[in-house]
Amino acid sequence: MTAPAPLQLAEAVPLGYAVLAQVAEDVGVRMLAIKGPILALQGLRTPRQSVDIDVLVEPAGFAALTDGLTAIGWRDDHTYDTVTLMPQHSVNHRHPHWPIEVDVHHWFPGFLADPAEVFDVLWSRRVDVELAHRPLPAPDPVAHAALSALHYLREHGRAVRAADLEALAGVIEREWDPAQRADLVEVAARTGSGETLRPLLTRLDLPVPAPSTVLTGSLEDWRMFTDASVTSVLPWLVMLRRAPWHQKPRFLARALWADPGQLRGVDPVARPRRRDLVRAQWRRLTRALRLLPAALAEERRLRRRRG
Amino acid sequence: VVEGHGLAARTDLAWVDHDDRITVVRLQVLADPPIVLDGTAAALWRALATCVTVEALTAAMAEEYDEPTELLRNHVEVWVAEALTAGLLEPQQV
Repeated sequence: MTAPAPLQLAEAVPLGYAVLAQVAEDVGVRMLAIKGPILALQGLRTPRQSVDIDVLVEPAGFAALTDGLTAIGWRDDHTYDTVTLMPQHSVNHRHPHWPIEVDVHHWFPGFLADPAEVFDVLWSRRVDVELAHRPLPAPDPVAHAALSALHYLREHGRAVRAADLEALAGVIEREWDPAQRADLVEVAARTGSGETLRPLLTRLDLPVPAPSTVLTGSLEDWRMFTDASVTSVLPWLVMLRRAPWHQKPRFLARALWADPGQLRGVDPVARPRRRDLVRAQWRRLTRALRLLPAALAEERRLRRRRG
Repeated sequence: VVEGHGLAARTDLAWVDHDDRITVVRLQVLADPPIVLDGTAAALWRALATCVTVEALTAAMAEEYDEPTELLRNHVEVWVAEALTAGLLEPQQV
């Protein structure tokens, strides 16, 4: 046999999905392959090379799946912002021999119903798609269209995402029959994503359904996140305002002095000497001060908008 | 390899044919790196889609590379033996 050679993206992406599906099967959790080449296979977007792979796992199986990944050499890289307007919804894993990142989602932003309930809805509608000569469970095209639209709407400020959303709307307009469009509305109702999908539904002249289940996610946070024109520093201001009085000092200290582990993850220059770490903290603070006026203005705008 | 015995790719593999090579992940040993087959190994892998014996594989290679079967037979047997050991192939009733 030939010795291992560096993987190319066109190989690593489909093979990576197959690896994830096998890990999920081995540890006995339900997992859906989402986004990227799956959308292309389902005709929901034009084929293009993905650079990472995304899966949605049932929330109760999240730890088992990530432990299973760790056991075969994939490491959680821990490079997460400490504070975001959107609660953490996925973790990234990397492997020294693979040129891709694996994003394991335990819920998907924009579906405001209970994440376990949302997963059950998507799972009940799953279909098999074939990648790397393996069958992979994936959301059916209607549910997958809802999920990908939420992904595009989350970053709607970016022109490429607006174009992606418009392309998806075009596919639905051209290729879906009335039953599929009605089904999209039904999925939106059952997953609590009627309001979050409003731009797509209204674009398609479809009704925006009321949720048919209890919502556990915050529509206000979704709107704030998707409306915000700046993303740096703003989450700290919002969360500082929301924190109870007795937690504000600790929160402020955390804002001023980042967790060294987190900082080393996002600023490689911060390692390994203490002097380098202090410099990295200073760089972070000066950057934040530079961005503070814009973040304050944006926070005021968003608060006025909410009335 | 037994004369006339069938061969098949194992069913617990994920594989991709891209850029003149085959990259295989053995799903029974996920911690192991993928195996890359190129050159004649990739040609043999592709031939497995229609050839299920060493004889048929040898004939397919002879046609593809325009070489006499006697010259290729040993090469094919060695590759099949290695692929069986590596967990890429399994015997199959014919």
